[in-house]
Amino acid sequence: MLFNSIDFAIFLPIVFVLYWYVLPHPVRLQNVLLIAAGCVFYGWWDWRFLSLLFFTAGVDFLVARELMATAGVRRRKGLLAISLVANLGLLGFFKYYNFFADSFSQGFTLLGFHPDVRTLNIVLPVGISFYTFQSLSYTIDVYRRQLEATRDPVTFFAFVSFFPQLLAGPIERARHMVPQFERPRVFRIDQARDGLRQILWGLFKKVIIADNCAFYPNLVFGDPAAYSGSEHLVATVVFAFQIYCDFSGYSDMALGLARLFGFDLMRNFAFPYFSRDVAEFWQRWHISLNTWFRDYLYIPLGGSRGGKGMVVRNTLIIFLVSGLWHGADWHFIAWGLVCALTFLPLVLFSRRQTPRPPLAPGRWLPSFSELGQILLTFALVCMAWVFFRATSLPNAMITFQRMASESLFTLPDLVDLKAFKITALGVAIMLVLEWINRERQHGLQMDGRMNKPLRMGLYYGIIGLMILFSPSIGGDFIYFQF
Amino acid sequence: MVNRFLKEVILLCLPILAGVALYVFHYRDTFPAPRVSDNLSLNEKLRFYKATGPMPLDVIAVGSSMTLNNLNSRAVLEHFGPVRYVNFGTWGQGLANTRDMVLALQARTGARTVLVCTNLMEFSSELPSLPLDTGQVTRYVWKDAEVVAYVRTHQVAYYLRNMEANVIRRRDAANYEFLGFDAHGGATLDVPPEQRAPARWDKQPPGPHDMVDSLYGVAEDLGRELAARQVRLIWLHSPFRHGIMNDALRSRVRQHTERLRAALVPLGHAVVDADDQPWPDEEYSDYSHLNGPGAYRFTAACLSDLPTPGP
Repeated sequence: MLFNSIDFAIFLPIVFVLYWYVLPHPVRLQNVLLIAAGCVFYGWWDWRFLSLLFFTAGVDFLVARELMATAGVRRRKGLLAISLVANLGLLGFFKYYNFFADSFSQGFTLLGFHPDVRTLNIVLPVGISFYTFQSLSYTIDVYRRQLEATRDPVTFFAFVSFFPQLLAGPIERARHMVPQFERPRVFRIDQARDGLRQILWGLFKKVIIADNCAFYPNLVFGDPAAYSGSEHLVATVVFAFQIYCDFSGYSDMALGLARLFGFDLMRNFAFPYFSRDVAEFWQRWHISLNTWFRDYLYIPLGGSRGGKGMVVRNTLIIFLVSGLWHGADWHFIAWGLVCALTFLPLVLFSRRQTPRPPLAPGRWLPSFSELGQILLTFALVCMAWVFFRATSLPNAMITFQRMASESLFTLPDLVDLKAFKITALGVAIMLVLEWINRERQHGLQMDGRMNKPLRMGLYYGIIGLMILFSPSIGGDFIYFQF
Repeated sequence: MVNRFLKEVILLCLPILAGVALYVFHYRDTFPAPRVSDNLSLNEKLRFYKATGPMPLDVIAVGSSMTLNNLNSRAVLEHFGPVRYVNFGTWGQGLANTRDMVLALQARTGARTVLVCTNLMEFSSELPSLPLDTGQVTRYVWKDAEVVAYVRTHQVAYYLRNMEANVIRRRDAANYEFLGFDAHGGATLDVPPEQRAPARWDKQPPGPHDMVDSLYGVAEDLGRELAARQVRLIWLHSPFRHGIMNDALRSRVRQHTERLRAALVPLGHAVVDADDQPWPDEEYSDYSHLNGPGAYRFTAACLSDLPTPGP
């Protein structure tokens, strides 16, 4: 079920009313309702894949309980291995089998061998990368003794199948969420109001910007040889806004929805396009995944404790794995590599402050220096997005060839000027509101900045824009495919 | 607390719902048909037929705007006599969509004669086919209640956006998107010279490099399938206005119709054109769409050329 669908607009009030009116307590009943809601929400796409979700959750629940009861190091490691194999095995099969089979076959063909490797017609279960990582964080935390395993399967299954973040994150940590599922929830009207605002903000970014943006990158990256350098440049910049608004829009809606039910999810985006360097960008972009990799991969690999060589190695590993996580294709791996190459110089040679000081503190506008840094960072990120959006590695190279040719200086054919105008209007509104709220949680947190009539005017204006300018096609979220 | 929150949400939504309700009420007569396909004119046509069309049918016409605008219903009935006839033509329909629609509609309506009107455009890359689920089309026309169809195709923005535009589409024959259907589903354009869109008037037919060879295979597929069903296919080629014709184009058109004849006539079908007659600019709305008198003359001329009359 999509957040931006009529189905969900019917589903949400029903679950909300049942949750707060019919089953306000005990907390276990509310959790049962949340599991049922998660099943309906996920099963709306394909109910058969619910079995995978519950298999993953079941294995991790049992493994964690055993871990709590076991002191022996070898046995604990064995239990953790069971969880890792079950989770990553499923993910590997559904997401990566064909990629590795294909690559293996092509690699051997280049060497003159012709192995008979069959690919399978596998459907990628939506959200599998997200819930697998989330569930895995539970067993790892219990293994590290950072979290006590819950004895209540209802609590754990409610955590894994929590519908606001089930399909596309944020990838929550068990130690942050499981305690929230264990304690009674209190309805806080301020949280709910702000949650609603955040949902509206996410919808605006998705419907007005991301969906209106989609057609142009689809055209250009779908047939890169047919378009000029300037058209590739425009498509790349448009895609940068599309993917940001699509994914951060989803995350905003997820956070807002969770708050309606009394939960506090971790922040996933912190206005990444206002970053002043690539390192800051990665602290602000898809925070839940990046911190997951930091906590469960980078630090166990040694982090930055072993000198610069270790930093380079571990950084490369993290970004390459991140690329592979996003998709089973070489262009995603190339994207990870480019991200690492733009990130590493900062880690190795920069003496910048960590964390960075606030951006333009007490000022309406950034300084020229800050603006230059922001634009340079945006350009580097866009360069990496080419690899991400291209349909293959050779096609990504065509995009760069086109951008390096004289055709970069020709006027681009924008095809649908109306969609571009709507997109430009949406992006302008988004940048202004997010800039104003850059120290806050989302772009529509206007308490104290505007009086009530102005705020209401803003909300109605945004709703009006969505009614008038949502494209007739579109809807799916890009990150569902991961 | 929850009550207060819900009250606030309802109060927040009320003005929006009231505004939408007022807007819908104002344009209630031109509320778009259920969005069973991505082609608005097909949706409107299906609703028209669902509401008014007879069953079974004797003759159906299916195709793009050439079929919708250039096939004149009066001329068709004068030729075939008192038959049950519906023109399912819609603008923006590619040839693969036409094939799928003909096969789906013929199977349902039992029509024994199928008319398809095209020119070079349908065989070029300029008129691509859209994703079309004919199962959804037939389910809407013959199974689902109207309300059910709206629930299935609940894209609020689509309906709201097209309500106002539909006022012109339904009423103004000088609008190129005119959808004011006659009793048989045809829509005759009537664009006076002063309202002609220059870009459409001066538009050139697709060039040799725009033609898609495989689309002749689509036409042949259709012909073969209809022959197997013992259904007669009459393929009409619609002429371009005199002002854009030249020897090269004339030769290309001749090659095109000959190729169609070679594919369809051996299957027992007919391919007819009216290229032996003059087609002066005054009879056109743009480079290829005829006005009412032109459409009548074209349809009558083509059908009078048929080797054997009647279904």
